[in-house]
Amino acid sequence: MTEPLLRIEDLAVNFDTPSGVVKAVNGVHLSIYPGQTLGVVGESGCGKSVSALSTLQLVPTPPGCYERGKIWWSAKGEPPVDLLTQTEKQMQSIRGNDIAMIFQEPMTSLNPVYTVGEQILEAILLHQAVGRAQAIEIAVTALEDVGIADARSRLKTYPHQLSGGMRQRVMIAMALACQPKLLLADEPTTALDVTIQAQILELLRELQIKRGMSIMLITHDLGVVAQNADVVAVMYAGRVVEYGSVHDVFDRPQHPYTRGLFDSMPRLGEEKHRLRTIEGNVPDPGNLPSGCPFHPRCRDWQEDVQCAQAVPPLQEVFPRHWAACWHGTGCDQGNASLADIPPVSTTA
Amino acid sequence: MLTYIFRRLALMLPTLVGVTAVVFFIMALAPGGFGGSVLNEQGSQNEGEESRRIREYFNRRYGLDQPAIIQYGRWLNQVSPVGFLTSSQIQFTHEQLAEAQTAIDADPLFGSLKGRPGHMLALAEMLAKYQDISPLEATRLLNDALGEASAGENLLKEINPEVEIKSPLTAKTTAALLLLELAGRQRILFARPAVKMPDLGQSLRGRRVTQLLGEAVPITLLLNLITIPIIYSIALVTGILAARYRGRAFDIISGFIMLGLWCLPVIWVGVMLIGYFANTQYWKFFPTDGLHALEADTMRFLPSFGPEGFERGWLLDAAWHLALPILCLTYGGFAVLSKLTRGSILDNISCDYVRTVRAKGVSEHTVLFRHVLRNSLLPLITVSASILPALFVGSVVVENIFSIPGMGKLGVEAAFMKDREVVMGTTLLGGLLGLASELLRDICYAAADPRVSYE
Amino acid sequence: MDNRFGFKDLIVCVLLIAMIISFWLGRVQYDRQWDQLRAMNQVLVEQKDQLQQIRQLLANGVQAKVQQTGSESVDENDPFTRLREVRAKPDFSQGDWFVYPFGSTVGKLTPLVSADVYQSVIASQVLESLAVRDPVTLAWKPWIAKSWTVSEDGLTITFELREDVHFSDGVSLTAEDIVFSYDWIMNPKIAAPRDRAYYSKLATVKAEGKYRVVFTLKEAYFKGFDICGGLSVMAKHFYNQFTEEQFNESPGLLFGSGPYKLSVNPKQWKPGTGKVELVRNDQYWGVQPAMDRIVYREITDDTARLVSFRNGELDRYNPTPEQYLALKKDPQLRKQKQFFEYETITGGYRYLAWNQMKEGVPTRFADKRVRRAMTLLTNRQQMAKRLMVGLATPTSSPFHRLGPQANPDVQLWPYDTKQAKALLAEAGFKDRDGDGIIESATGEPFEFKLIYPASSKNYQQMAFYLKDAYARAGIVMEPDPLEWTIMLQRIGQRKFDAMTLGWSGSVEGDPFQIFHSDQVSDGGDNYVHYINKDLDRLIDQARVTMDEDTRMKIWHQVHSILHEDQPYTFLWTSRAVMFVDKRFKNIQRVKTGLNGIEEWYVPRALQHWSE
Repeated sequence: MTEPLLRIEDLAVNFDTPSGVVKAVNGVHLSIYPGQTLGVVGESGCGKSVSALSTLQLVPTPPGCYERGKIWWSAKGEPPVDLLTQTEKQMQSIRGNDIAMIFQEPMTSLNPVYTVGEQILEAILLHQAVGRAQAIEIAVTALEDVGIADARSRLKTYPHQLSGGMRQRVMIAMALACQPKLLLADEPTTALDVTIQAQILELLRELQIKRGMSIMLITHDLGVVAQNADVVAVMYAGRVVEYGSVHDVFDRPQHPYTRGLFDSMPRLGEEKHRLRTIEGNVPDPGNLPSGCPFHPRCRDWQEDVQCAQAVPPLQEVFPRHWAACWHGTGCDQGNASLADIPPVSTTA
Repeated sequence: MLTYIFRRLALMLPTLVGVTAVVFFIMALAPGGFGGSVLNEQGSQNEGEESRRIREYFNRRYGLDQPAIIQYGRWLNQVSPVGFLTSSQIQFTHEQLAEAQTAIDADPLFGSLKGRPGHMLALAEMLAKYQDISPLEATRLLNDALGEASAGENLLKEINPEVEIKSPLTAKTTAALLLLELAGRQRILFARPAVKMPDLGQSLRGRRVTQLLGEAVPITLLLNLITIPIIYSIALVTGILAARYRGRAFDIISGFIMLGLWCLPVIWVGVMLIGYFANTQYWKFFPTDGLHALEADTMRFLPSFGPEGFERGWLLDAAWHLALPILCLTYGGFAVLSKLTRGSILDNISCDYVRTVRAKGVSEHTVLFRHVLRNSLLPLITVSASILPALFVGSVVVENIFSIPGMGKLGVEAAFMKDREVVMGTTLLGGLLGLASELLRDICYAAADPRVSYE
Repeated sequence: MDNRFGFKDLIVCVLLIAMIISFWLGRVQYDRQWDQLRAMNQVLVEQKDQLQQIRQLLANGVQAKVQQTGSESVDENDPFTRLREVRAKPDFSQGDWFVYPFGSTVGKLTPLVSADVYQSVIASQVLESLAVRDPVTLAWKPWIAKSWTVSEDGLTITFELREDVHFSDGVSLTAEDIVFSYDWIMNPKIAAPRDRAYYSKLATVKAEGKYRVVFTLKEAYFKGFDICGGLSVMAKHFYNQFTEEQFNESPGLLFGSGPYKLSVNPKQWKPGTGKVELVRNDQYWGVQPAMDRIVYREITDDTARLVSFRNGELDRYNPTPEQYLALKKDPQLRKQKQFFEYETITGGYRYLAWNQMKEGVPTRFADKRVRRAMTLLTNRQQMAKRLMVGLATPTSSPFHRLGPQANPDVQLWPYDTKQAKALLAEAGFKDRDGDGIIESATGEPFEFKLIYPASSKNYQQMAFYLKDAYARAGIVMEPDPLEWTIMLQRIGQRKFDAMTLGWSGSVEGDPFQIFHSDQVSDGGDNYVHYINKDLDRLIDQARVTMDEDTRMKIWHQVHSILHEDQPYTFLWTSRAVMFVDKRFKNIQRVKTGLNGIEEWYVPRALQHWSE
């Protein structure tokens, strides 16, 4: 059984706001294995981004604080370290180097006053002991890898001279320049149009296969997850409520929320006059309901007393398929590994 | 970029013309008109006849009685390097003047006039310059005018259509009147276009404007050039620190202090500083006024230890004298800039790209100084264009309080006196400075922010 | 790829700039040394000239003069009697500087073309005239001239010059210089319209021989001698070097025969250094004053001046009346400074002017009774005490009460509201409708506006005081402060009801321009439209009366008429106040104020500055 590359254990992150303590992340369990793509789905505000940021200790700590939890990271051959206990200096050597992150808004995520080349060089020179000339070569290669033509002259361009898709490619190039083992992609295509979106995702798949990299793909688009992820974690109100291979979860969703999500998706060929919705609204993270956070909106078990009082843990309802619901079917197999789930093939 | 600069430089011209025109006409329309106060210097009142003559003299010499638009046209002609010559700029050679003198000496009419023969030559010369003819021709004209009453009247009317001729003209009265009318009059000679040195004119008190500016501008410039780096360095340091430790003690205290400093008026601060820090009654750390001590001329340049102990030396003495004025000039500036820096940095720190940079593993220090600061400087550059003109204005008060003879004082005094040439000169200079600093700022901005392009 | 302006480039730039600055500073220092060398060179050249002159004199044979001791033959024509007395004092010592503050900068020192108020103060130490007024007797005393004769008709004055007067460079002063001075003023190319107008009363100025000058006036005028005797003598050999344009534009051409001279070469003097320095003329032809140097410091800010004075950096200070009261009690100042309150005949007077004709229509002030009533309603004694903190004395005429023109028999109108009201009633102003305001026969209420300079707090206080005083008599007065140029405009156009201002004075003033009916039309200064034919006649007569006693009697009559008619309400004459550092001795009060600083000295033990 291979070790997971990254294992998030019961992560909880709070934010101190003027109107009280907000529990952005409230008990998240995730694992990513080498070479795997984990898709993290959920509505806005469910804590996906914060979980990813916590991995790199990038949550701004005056308002935020890591309430509890451990994030285990196993570098090659060494015992896993808890990323939340690393010092700033140690984290700086991990960021961009072992774990990289790309963000949602390519338009504003690049520094407008420096050229693309300088920004990539910065990442390279920071983590690799190479000279400037060699670093430039690496940068050129990085840009070519992400599919930017005429890479050498592109190094001298400024971000505002590039289109959104190009910028995202540059970001990816920047993130991958130092060959990280894990790429955290926080909604990388949300701000792009559909065709570009497809290109970027395909690029990511290519790179993953080529380099054997793991990707945590955060998105709110189930279609993207279906096409690109191997494993999916569904998050709601700061918790993972369903977790398993894409195949399993999409085939027979166990959590009422997941089911509600699928129900509300329009399908080709189906005649519908009105889209189905999940009634109610996402709870205010500063004011979570008692018991299961979904139960006020749960179609099936709204009246259930247990749901109202106790918070359901992630339970394995099917082999290698976990759900956080009191009413999922049980299964006695323990924490089965998701390691041997083959990644989704690139030929779609 | 170069075409942009040329275009801006070319655009400066109409802007300057506009600015000077507005100032000119406001001055012309203000009560008292031009030179209103110069004629009644320091509130003294003159005998009636005398004051009328003085006013007439000023009118003739500076053209104060002409309509404002003509005066403005004259000034433009005077200031532009391409224009027409005026009658006073004509020079006659020795031979020409000698010729005229001989003609005067030979003529019985001139000799019969009681009075100074030298004045006849002066009169001929003035008439020649005014009419743009040679001195010899002028003597012939004069002869006619002095011999024949009607010719004299015509000549007088030609020079000043509004001159009142009360009694019949004799040769003597004609000569006297001509002398009076011609003295100081200037005429633009449209027949003589020329490329000439721009001439800023003469103050109504007699001194050349270029000289006045030449004495005053270096001092003000010195004050301001020392002030600006100080303002920026203090503002940057305090702004960065305040943004870095946001919400903590330094931020709150410095914010409070900056706000307080910005509220203090320079007039009060200057006087307080003199009263407390330049006063033997309290603490005498600094001198009360001026730029140099009385004995400055005899001091060595660098500080030294002489037989009487520590001798300040000229350089240190100048710096010591400048300390209080510069303090007054800087505190307002760095208060504003400090808050601006802080705000700008805070704005940028919460930007997305900072998150990307951090995700690359860059140290916090580099994040702040290499990335955030570069972006935060842009508003500071925008503001810088207005700092230099603002300092010039602000230095009026400071110069007055500390008795420093700089441009601020020159400009304000001239404005009170409605001293036409000096006010226009300072306006021109101020306008040029303002426009130049804006151009510089725009260039700096283009250099600093790659998103900005002027193509 | 990366040609960004990095931190290293910034350092390089800063170092470059620092290098340029130190280069420039080095140049400045070099220039200073150069200036010093030049000044030293100048002094050496002058000394060489002097040595040569002395050698020449010795070669030609010199007769030693016997030194005259003080009490023996007192030469009546000796202009330096007072100075000799000072020098004879036991603690007299030469040396020390006098530091004098100016409230504004001096832009130009060149005589005739300078418009700076302080230029005349400086020039009075450098230039001299033919005669001066004795500070005690006010009689004209010979100075450069040793004697003079006035013709019968008063139109010709002949001056005999002293033969030992020379300029500060040693060149002799002759009649040619005086003729030159006059010609120079009358030269139309010189920008001196004011002086030209003043001297236009002279017909000719001619030199007869080396030491005699003859002035002829165009018409008899009682001030004729003032004009001739007061002419500042300019050196022909010096000023001849310049063209008229150069003269008009040069700032520092002040050169003369006086006891002091500019410390730098007049051709090179530049304004803007913050001070003007005069050094003692070591070649002075007369008795030298005690001070080595007079330094005029330009300090524009009042506070800075006072602080400087307290610090001991200035030797004299003129406070405002309120400041004076406060400072008089200050213990530090009492210890170190001496203070003087003194009358000056030339101090001038303050007045209220009642306009008798506004826009062609006679006003209510055209009635003599109304004007007198206004004077009776103005409590001058109290105003002098309160507003001017006791430093003013009420006056009844334009002539200073200590001067010769004032009529000693004329008594001030008293403060009498009852009589005032009676006079107003007689003129037809009564309170007809019981609202407390008096009205004319046609029902028009007695309201008027008083204009005064807005910038002066003192005038403002005065206006409010008067408003109150007049209101008690039922007169509504509205204070109307105006900016200075606007006020002058309104006065020029005679568009005002009443105004308050001051006139400056002279030893013997000429009331022609203010009170003569000829001066009523535009341009004249009789802007209250006051016409009295008797007064006109008297003034005309006085102006051509050359005999002083007869003339004074006529002035006394003028005084009586003005007192009767009250075209102005003459308010008061002020005393001047001054603080001087205690170390200066021999400061005396004289008719013209205080004696000149050439008569002051500092005993050696107390001397502060040294050369």
